Amino acid sequence: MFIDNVRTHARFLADSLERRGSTATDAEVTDILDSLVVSGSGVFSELVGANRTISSSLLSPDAGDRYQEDFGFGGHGDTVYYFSVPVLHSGEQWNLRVGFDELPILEKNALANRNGLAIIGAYLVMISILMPMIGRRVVRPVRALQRASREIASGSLSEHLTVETDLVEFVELSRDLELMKSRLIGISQQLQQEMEDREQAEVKSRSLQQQLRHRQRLETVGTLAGGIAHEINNILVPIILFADTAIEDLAPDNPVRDDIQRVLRAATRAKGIVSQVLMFSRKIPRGEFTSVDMAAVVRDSVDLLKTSMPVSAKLSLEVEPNCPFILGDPSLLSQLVLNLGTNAYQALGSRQGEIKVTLSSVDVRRRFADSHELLARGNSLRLTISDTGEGMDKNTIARIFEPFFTTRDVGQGSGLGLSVVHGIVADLGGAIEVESEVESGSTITVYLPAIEQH
Amino acid sequence: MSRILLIDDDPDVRDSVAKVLSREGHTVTTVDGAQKGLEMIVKEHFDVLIADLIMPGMDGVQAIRRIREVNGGIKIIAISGGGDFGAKRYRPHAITTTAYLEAAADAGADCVLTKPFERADIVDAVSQFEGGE
Repeated sequence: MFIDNVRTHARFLADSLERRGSTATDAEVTDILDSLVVSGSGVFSELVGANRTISSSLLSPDAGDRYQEDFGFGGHGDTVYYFSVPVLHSGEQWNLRVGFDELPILEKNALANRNGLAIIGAYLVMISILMPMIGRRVVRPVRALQRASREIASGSLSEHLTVETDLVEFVELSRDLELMKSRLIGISQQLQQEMEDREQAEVKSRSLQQQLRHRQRLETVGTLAGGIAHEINNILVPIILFADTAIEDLAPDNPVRDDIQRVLRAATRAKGIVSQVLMFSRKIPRGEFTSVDMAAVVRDSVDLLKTSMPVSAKLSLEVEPNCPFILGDPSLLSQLVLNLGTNAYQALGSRQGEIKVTLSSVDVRRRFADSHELLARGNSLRLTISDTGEGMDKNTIARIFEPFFTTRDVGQGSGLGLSVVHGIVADLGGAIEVESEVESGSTITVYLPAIEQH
Repeated sequence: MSRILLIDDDPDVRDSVAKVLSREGHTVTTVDGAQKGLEMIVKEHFDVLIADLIMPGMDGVQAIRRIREVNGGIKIIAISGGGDFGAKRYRPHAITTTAYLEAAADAGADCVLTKPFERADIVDAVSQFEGGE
């Protein structure tokens, strides 16, 4: 740069002067100063000392008229600048001042500015030509990608991304985006499936928990019921025996006898309920089950039913030959048949009706394949008890196995009979079904898993 | 007419059973626990023992076995509070829980009745042994 040149030259000269030491005469100094001007490094130069100044005798040929008038260094604002370099001359400290003209520099700057502006202008023109081109090829696909990723982020994974572009990078990018999207869809489906499975498992575990709690509650009730039953049974002993001896002690025509008879009957009813409650709450462990000839149990129970029913009711029994045995407890099974029979008999009420009991062997494996494990294994025994009694409406059928649910008047039924039946059937791994029509009659069917005959 | 020892912790059961059997002409002695029953057996002779196998705070089976040791020929009627399963008329003597039956068999009982029994039941149970005397 021009200014650097001046600086360098000035320094060089300052060094030469110093090397000369004190021996340089004024004339020699002037020569040196003039050489600066001649070299074009400066307009003029002078050596300024403490007392005097030695100036170059020449002005540079470029100086122009301005400096002739004012042969001196100007300050800022003139178009003349100078450098000042310290010099040791003749043992004294002088300053070598080199002045140079700013104007050429200014002109050069102006030219550079003009050039710069031209270049910028050219750039702008170029851009305004290129921009639409870029826009078409780059901005649009970028916008499309932007839109697509926004949609994915917001959760709608169904829109398909279409980007019209011939730029390889964009094609690849849009393909990657599609890939990411399909992966996201896959993951979200997986998550949904997992959530559903977890929900199902929870529902199942909740229902299992509920079943467990129900069981536990029943067991607690069972223990309680057992204890209460035992106590009540003890209490019933003196009631029944003393009522009996009291009747004996009264004259046959004494009206009090009737009252005491009723006491006796009430006590007997209580006994029945207690035994049903005990039956309901007691669970014979599977380990104590034996193989039972159900045909024999049914026959014996029907005989018993016949003796306790009025002659007016017709009770018939049909047992298929060679019925298989079942695994269970004989007293439970006879209780089952008796309760069903009692229920049927009570349904007849005052009508002249008919009760039919049948026992047969059936294959219901497929029907109970998903619900009853034991029934699904092999043949089953089917016990049906039908009556031509009053029948049941839908609401009654729904509640029929509820403990203490009864449609009978007080004193005629505890409402436990069928719930006991249900409990026994469940314990044996069987199934029970009810069909009924109001005023027509009802049929209760019990399926019990059969075993190989012994 | 038999000499009967009745062991039961419930006073009403003792009194009512005693009354019923006395009316049949039997001699009935009642005690409220197996320990007292043992003491009685040692002192007197009895033909029939009526007792609940399940007595609070003591092993009824053991007690009855020991009584048998002292009085070998005694007939034992076990009365149980376990509940009647509705088939009592089906068999002369009530069906009761399998466990109770096994306990009764263990104790060497000759007969099992479930409370509450009819007057006729307890009367028949006692008189069935008299034929053999």
